[in-house]
Amino acid sequence: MLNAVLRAGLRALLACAVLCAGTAPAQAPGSAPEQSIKAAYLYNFGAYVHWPELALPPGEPLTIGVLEDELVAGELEEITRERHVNGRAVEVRRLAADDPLDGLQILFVGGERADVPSELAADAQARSILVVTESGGGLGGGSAINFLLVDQRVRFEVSLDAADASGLAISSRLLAVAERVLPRSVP
Amino acid sequence: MTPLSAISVRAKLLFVVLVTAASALLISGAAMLWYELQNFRRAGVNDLTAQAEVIGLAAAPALQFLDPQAAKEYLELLEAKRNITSAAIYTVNGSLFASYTAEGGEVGFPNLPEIDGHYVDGNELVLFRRIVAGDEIIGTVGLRARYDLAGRMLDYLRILGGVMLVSLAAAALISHRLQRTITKPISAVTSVARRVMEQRDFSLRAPKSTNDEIGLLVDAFNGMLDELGRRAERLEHSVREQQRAEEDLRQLNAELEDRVEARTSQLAAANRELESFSYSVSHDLRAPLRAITGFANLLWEDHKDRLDEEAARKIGIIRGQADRMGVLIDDLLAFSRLGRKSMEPVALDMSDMARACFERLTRDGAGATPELRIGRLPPAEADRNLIEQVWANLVANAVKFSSKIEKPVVEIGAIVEERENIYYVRDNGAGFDPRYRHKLFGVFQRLHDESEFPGTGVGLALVQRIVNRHGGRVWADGQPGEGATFHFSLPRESGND
Repeated sequence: MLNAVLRAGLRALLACAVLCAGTAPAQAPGSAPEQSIKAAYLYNFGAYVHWPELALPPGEPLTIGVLEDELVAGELEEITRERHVNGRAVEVRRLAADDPLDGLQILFVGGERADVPSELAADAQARSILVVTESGGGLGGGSAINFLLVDQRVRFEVSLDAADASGLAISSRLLAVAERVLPRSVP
Repeated sequence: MTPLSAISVRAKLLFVVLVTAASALLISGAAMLWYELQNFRRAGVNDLTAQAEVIGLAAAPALQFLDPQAAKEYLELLEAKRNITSAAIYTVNGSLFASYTAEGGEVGFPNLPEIDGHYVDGNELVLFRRIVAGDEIIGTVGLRARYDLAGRMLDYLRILGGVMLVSLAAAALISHRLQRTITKPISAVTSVARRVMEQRDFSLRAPKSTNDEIGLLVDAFNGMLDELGRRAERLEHSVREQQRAEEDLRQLNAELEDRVEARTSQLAAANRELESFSYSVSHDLRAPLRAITGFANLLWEDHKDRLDEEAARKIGIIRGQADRMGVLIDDLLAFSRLGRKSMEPVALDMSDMARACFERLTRDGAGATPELRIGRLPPAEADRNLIEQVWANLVANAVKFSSKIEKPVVEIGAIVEERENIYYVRDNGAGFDPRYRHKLFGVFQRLHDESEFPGTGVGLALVQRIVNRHGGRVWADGQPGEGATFHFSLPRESGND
């Protein structure tokens, strides 16, 4: 029991070695510390989002796809090794532009692009994939969560409309720490 | 003796009840206090733990997404919880993430978290609890709350004291009312016992009002009073009887004494009469006797030539008997005179006196002079004439009764005893039959025939009378033909009449 606690504490310490860097202001957009914080955030999002059962059958691992961002993908692989989200194993998949989105639950679209390609967005929406971007232009084009840099700190904004469209429920606890939540548009 | 033994049963019962009640209250109060304190501590810890859990749950996203502002906002919600003075959230690597201090709260949190658990710091309870998300530790929450154990205890003790006071007062009141059922019969017995002791009235009885041990005591007490009354009566009765018997005895004694006195005085009177009678008779006998002697002598002197032998012999007998009668009368007079004569005690040399007496008596005696053996005699304090008379009579007797044997011996000696001197005169003469010893000292009593040993029978009676008057005794030992010993004693202390 005590051993298990100690081991868990030790593991947490190792993990935080990564995270703690996040408390320090990020150096520059797209820099290594910034991307590692984003990787940790990606991992943490998993606990606050509820997927439909079809999109995430019981027993299946939580799969995070990283599109064209080797830094985040590598960092994420490092963080998630042997860790679980809500009792699920976590997998990291590196994606190229045209790779299929089968079995993904979270898709990180890296880079300063203004919009997610519409086919990709539609596909992701159809598969109930949480699309996370780091667009300087803000939310749009099917992105549910967008990373921001506020006062040199990594924050994020949430689009409830996008989440609703994908059939995802985002925990209010996550919303509470979001920098900005775009309210639902009146139907 | 303890002071407790001197106070009344009522006070003792009250004391017992109060001590019992106080002990029970104290024990239960202490148990409840202990339980209350345990509870207080547990409740405090539980409450704080729940708070920490809630804060941890709420602050988990803030930690995970690095939002200290959100964490601080959560902590500031603790303002509603007045008992929490300060709080802090630490990241998993131990740096302070957010903190909160209530108004008036002074002690903040250290920059590093402590291990999970709780402890009491002064009058504050400090608790640290890990924040867990999923199966991972993501940080620590620390809470510091007021924990006024002493105040709580003081409140509790105040309540306990109040409860005890009221309870003891109630116990005293109730016991005061209830113990009457016990003490009333006891005090009834006590008052009766006291009255019995004071008045000695065994007819009193204690009233019996209960059937318990006190009722039994009352029965036993009354039974004892019955018995006591009976015994006292019996004792009084026997004492009265004894007093009556003593009174009778005393009366009898008095009567006897009166009678003895009367008889004694009668006897003394008779004795006196007898003495004066014998004196006057002796005295009056002398005149005719003198006439008889005188005329017998005249007849003899004037007519002896004409008297034949027979007539001369008869006149001789008349003269002899008349002389003898004269001697008898002299002795009688001497004897009766003794009762009236006053004594003049002087120091006497008994040896000289006895020897002189012996020589005077044997100087012109007929027959052989007896041998005298005389020892040293102790001196005496007595009347000279009377004691001379004693010696004369005793020595004359010894000479007379030893005169008919060949070698007569008269022995005179004395024995000195503690209170008296005993003098004796012994001869080896005719002796006497001890059966008639009691007659020896009677007047006119003679054990020998007049013709054998002449005498009047007054001598020894005279000796006895003289010695008795000096406070001494006389007695004699002897056997027929083996001589006789006559003793007389005189007290050693002078002045004894």
